[in-house]
Amino acid sequence: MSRLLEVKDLSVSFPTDAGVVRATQNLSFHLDRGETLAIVGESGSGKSVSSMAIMGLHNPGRTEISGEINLNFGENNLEVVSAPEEKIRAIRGKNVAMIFQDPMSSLHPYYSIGNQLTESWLIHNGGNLDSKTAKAKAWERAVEMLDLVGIPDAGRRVKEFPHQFSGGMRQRVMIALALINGPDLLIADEPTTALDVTVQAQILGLLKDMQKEFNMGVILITHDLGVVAEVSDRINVMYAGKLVEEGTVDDIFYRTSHPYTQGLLNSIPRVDSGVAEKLVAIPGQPPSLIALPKGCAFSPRCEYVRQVSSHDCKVEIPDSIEVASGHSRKCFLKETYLPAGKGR
Amino acid sequence: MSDKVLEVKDLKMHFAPRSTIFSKSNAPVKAVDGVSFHINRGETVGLVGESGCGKTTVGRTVMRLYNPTSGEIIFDDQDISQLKGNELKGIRSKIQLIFQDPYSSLNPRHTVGKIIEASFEIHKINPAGGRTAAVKELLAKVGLNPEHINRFPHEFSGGQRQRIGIARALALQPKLIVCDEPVSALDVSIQAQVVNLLDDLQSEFNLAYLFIAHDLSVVQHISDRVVVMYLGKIMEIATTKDLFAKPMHPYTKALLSAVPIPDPEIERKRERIVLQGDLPSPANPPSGCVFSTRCWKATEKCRTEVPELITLGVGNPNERSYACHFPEN
Repeated sequence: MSRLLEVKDLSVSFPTDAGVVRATQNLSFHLDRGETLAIVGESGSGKSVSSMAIMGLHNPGRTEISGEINLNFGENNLEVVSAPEEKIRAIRGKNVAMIFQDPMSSLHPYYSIGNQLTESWLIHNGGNLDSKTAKAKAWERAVEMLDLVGIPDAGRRVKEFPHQFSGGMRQRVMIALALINGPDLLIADEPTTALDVTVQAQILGLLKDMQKEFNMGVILITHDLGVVAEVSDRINVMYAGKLVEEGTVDDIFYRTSHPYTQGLLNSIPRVDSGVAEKLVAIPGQPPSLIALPKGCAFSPRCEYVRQVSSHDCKVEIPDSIEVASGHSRKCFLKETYLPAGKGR
Repeated sequence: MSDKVLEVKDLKMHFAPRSTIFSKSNAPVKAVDGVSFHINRGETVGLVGESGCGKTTVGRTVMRLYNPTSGEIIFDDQDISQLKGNELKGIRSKIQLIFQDPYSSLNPRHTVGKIIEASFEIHKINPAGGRTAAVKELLAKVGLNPEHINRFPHEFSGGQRQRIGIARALALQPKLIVCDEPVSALDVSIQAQVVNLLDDLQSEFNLAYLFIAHDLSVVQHISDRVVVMYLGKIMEIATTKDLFAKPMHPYTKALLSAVPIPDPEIERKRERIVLQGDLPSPANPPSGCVFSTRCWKATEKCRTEVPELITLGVGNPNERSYACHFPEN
């Protein structure tokens, strides 16, 4: 069976007056059904840009995209980069769906929840938007979805407007909206960042249940490594538009191999650590995507640069090297594993 | 001079809603409803709770940005809750605020120098060596290049802007800084830099922090003691060590259990208490214990009788308080 999603050599750049913004460069990764892939990295590392590309949401006039994004839904295959807009439209919202960070600004304030839910369903299933029977069916389906995502009294609340829901409830509505057509692939872009921890726990639990229910592949974009540890199977670590390390959750947390991943793991305080030791911050700032440093983009902030004798990190760009099966990194360092997190 | 830089006694901050043509509801929003705690000199007290629990309102009322409905705010042995005019202005230089969003809290049309100098201007202070020299020194203190004094906020990254906000707060040599979610808008690697900076400045200037945040792992890292709030009331106060190791209030326990730990193995084994539902409305709080509607231990007593804040070991360093009829441990 072929993979649900296969991204090959994806590069996205935006020409601007100040220069070309290289948002992602030569990104390759894949995702299977029922699997959760987490994409982690700081702001501006290219996490959201790559997921927008998968949804075919970039404006072709202002974006340069190269590479391949192969989606495989069994009967309905598509290569997104070269596909015409109407083909992408047919799968967007049906086979591929997305949940955004801010549930208030991604729901339309003037339309009722039911109105927004049924619209998405009718476009992909109803055909005739004016048909009364199709509409009635869509409303039934909307109530069913709200019920499924745990909104109490769904029959009444379906007629309400976004401002009548709390933050957590709105995010549940967003999930219902994304799942109403039973997608094969769900992209969740910082789905719990705007929520309180107690509500975050509810929403993460719900996402896990829904993944089982629909047998979806899930891409989770986040900067919260705690959330990553909780829900993901595999992790892509991104820095300045490149994939610097990829592997299973255990690879990344216990067999950390890239200095940037190590820096990320060391800079987060943990509630279970007990003692308040000083945090190990990564010095400096992430680079500008218009003027990337020569060589490895992380080299200006990397403490290992001097230990590398075989290459000059500030001139040469490291290729992806497999350190174990399914676990690879882009780094010249001799040591394969670096102490990080609890083991440091 | 007492050890306490700030003592808040039974503070209430109720906001009366405006009646509109659609509704005439006159129930006030009880954002803060009878809160008592103190902060010692040079100490960091964390203030945690879900959004809407009143933690920001506490911070702002302590700074006297609001006029409290009732209660006392004793700062430096003086009740400041009713001060007005020049007296209040004098106190304000001793309590400063660091905001959450470093993008909207700096005037985009002013240079960094002007932003920081404004504190001197407003309070008519002329530091020895001149204002510009003082601003440069502050910039250096927070890890920025003093040569960047003439730059504008947009020329700095998020972490650097937060440093500018910190420099501005330090300008008048305050005794207490209210930090309202100072790192939640920053990336993790930058977050650690700012937390470390706050730590260093505290030891250098003997500052006290009221550290308001929803991220419990950061709060645990930086605080000496922690206050847990829920719907305008204090649920628990304890030293950081006690609170995280042995929470007494069920709400604290649930809150801690909801925080994901960046360790996959621990996450797989963890039993989680997932609270059902949302925070009730502070305009119409539940009777009895405010947490009773979401608490798994709630009984009839909890629904009718408001639990008092009980303090154990008054005066000793491990003093802790809780407001619950059926505490854990």
